[in-house]
Amino acid sequence: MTLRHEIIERKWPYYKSVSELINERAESVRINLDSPSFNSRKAAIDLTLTFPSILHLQFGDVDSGLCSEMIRLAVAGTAEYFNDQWWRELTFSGSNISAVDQQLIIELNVRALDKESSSRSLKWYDVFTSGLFLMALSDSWRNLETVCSWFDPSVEPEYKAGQIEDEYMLIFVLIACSLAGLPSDALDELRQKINKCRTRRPKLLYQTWETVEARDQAAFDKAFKASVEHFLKKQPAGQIYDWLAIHQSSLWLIAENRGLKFPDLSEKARAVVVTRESAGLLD
Amino acid sequence: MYAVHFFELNANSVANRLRDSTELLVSNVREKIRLEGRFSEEDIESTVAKVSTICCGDLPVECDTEYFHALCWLSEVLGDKVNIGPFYCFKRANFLTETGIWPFLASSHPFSIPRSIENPPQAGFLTAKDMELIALPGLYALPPSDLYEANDARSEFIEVIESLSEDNLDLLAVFL
Repeated sequence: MTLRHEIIERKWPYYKSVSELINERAESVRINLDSPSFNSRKAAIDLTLTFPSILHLQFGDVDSGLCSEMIRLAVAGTAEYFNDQWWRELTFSGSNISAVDQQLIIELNVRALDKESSSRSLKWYDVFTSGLFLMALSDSWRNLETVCSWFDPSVEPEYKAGQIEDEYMLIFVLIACSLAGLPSDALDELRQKINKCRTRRPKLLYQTWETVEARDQAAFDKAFKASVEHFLKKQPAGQIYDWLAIHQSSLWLIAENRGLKFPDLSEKARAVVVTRESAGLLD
Repeated sequence: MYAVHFFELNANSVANRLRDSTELLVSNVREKIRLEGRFSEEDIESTVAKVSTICCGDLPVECDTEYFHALCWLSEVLGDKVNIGPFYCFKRANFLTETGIWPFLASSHPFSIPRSIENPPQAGFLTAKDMELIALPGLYALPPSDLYEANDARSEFIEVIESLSEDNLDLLAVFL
């Protein structure tokens, strides 16, 4: 049997062994999820994608119990990230962070997370996209709904130095608003903005989302396949989870939850879509 | 760092607006720059003067970089910015050569755009008609670059002009 990482022609990219990397990242995630800084929490939630990705790509034996535990922690961390209480009530008692740095952390947290701030520069994209995947993967739909209630159509795309299209980020605002139960007509302006995009990646993901919303199996099969095939045309570098179609996987997990069936995909396309089964999370 | 800024527009309608509504356009550009909140009034007026020169088509033979910045501001008022990630920020000017796209941005334009013997800055233009007849067949036929990122950039550019061509819109590009 050809392993999934072999199907996509990838080799283990780290100097550390699988178990060393997993233990190191588990420790890092645990520490950073409790950080007073939004940035460290964001990094921890992102890093959690490592665990299901290693399982999915079949890079050796991994303790699926540890994987489930890390996902559970990151799901809770995502829920807390979008619960404004943590940064509003942040205290530094017993901390060795200097008073100047404490002030800086507070100011940066406010800019990143306070939707009422006039100088807001909201930081939601990475945490939400990773959290959405982890919550969908672990069947944490109620948590996801709570997280989504943080969003409204005014949430802007982040500054990403042109590397991610604004419209692509807005698809996730649309998804969040929709999952939070906002009425469809309140999202029309958002849809218009997304529709203006000229590049194919956002268009295909958006079309996939529309088919999930419509629960249209035939259209979903076509749109999902096109989106994953487009993903395969790129050769993303970076972390091993960047090799996987995480965003399409999230949409599949939502689609599955809504009763849709997994589309007929090529072997290579299947190898980049993470399912509960491929991540070893089915009981 | 270098960047190519792209703008979709209807060139014929833009030519008419440049001729008939110069004052309004200049005023809109001034407001747009002010709203950014990053520039002094002196800088704004300097850019706006260049915008006015572009609108009147009274450009010098050799334009400095500020003309190209002014063209970007004006284009944001006249059309819509199109983000093509790989062209947003790159380290070597040679990257653009590797993508192979620039020679296709050579359509004749119904309004004046700045010129420079330096490279960058440069401005290029591609009509919807030339996208279909020249650029797309030419780009499809280009051999792949040895540089993965350049191929990626080229394929995103192709996606954009396929979409613009369908909507019969033109493309202005400013290399800075």
